[in-house]
Amino acid sequence: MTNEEWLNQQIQMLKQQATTYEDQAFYEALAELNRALATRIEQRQGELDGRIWNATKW
Amino acid sequence: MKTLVIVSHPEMANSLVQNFLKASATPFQDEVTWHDLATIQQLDIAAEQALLRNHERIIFQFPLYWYAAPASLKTWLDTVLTGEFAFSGRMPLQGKSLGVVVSTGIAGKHFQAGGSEQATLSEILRPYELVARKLGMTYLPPLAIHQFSYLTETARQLLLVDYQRYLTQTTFNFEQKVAWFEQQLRHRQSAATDSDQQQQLALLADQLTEQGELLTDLGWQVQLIRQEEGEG
Repeated sequence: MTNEEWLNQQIQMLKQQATTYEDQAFYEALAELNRALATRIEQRQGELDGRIWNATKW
Repeated sequence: MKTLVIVSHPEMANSLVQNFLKASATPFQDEVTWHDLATIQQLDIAAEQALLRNHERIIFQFPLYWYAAPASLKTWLDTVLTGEFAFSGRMPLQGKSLGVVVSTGIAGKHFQAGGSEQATLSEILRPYELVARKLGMTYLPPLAIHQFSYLTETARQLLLVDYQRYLTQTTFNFEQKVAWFEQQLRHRQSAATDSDQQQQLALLADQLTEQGELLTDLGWQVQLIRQEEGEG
């Protein structure tokens, strides 16, 4: 399980337990943030790998 | 940071969007002052000016009527922002931030070049940007709410949190966004009565912090290599 999936699982559990509309909204937005965070990490990781393994520098 | 929300709406009680926003701000009562101009019979200039002095972020919140705010906001501006107050050498609002929360009955896509409104919201709201500039304030990107009644449930929930962040998040970058959510998780953790839930919230906040730090760290590494490769 990736970090993103684990975090999402926790967020969804908390969302289900939420008793107020505001709390539900918070976890909905948090789930979206989690996705955006994972995407950014993946993109930066990808750029880093690409730049480290730059064949023109070998 | 303390935020003053100046609400200008002639029919507050009937406004779905204003009541939604008011409820959204309620959990932040300690930081946010809700100031409904419709409830004021006679403006007490000194009291209004004191409110401005005592808050770091000022929000003008209104529905867009004929490409402007309703009359009560214009009256408030003309009455409260006296020359003596605003420019007597002390610039009392300098360094504070000014934001606009505007609702429209027209879809957002129409507010662009080639759209049916033929103007962007940035153009329409330009007078407030100029007011901010004149007062030495930082103008925040406006928060626009288009056709609230057509929003899906999920869109409403995301709007609720976007609005809360607009009122309380100090700066609007991704790092600060992550920090805001982490802070909210910590608040929920301390308010939780169930120890399992407390633990779950603490763990989630820790993990979020860790992921945020990983992103920052990767950013530094990428930046370093870019610099080495002559890309600044």
